[in-house]
Amino acid sequence: MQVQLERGQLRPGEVVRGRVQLDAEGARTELSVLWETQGKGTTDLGVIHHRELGTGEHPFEVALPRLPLTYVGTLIKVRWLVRLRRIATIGDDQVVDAEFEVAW
Amino acid sequence: MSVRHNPFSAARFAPGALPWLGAAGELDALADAAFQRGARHQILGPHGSGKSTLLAHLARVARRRGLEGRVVRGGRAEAGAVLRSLRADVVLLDEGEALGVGLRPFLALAAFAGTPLIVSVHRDVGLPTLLRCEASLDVAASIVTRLLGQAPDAGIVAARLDRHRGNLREVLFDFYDDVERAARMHRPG
Repeated sequence: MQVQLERGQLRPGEVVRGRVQLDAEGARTELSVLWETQGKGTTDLGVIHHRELGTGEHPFEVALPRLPLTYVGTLIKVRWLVRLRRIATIGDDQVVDAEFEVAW
Repeated sequence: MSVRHNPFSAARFAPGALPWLGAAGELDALADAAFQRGARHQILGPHGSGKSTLLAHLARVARRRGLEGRVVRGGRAEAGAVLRSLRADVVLLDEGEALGVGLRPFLALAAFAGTPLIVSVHRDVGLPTLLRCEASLDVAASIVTRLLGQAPDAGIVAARLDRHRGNLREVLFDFYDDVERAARMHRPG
């Protein structure tokens, strides 16, 4: 299970493009493009794109909103991610993140 | 300058984010007792002692057994959602005291409905205690090691656990501050 991004640095409103490779048969896998906050407080999350994928190679392109921008502060950080989640029937889901930066 | 990824961000140790560090088979044994029809239990412990984490893991055990385990937070869920949770196979009520005067009627309703209920509380509310949570030094050091990627000074963990009266969440936030402070000190120029 892999995610490859065409570019790791984007401007607000641009399109994030990439390719996903899924090799496990039968497992339910979700692709999401999202931002999340990290820090000492409760995590906030915004999912701007979400879909389920089957086995094989899948190109994707998703238009980004203008906000929020990537931010790295002491108390809070905002991260943009392409996330693959393989839903486990037993045990924990498997998650692969590819991070990219959204900034002017 | 701040670090891009602080390993002690709250999300890294949110309920269910870390594996359960109890004895092998402990979760299943707790679930066996708690998931019986009509069973009502409390999980007792101070802030940051692992009550919400245990509830999250029990919800996962429920899912693994093909049951719907509904976690509701007494302080955040609206009243309708709390009541509707009784339709699930197992109700896991976090922050039970936050329901205030609504807690007693809710416990009575759960008994009437027969829905297995596990409620996390800081003080005894008169239900059988499923587990008394306490953040031990071993567990604290193990979690810090897992997040940091290396073993911390056990003396520092012990001192912080003592200073925060067993509140592991606050201990981990002290380490969060350490990471940020170190990043500022190593700022180029």
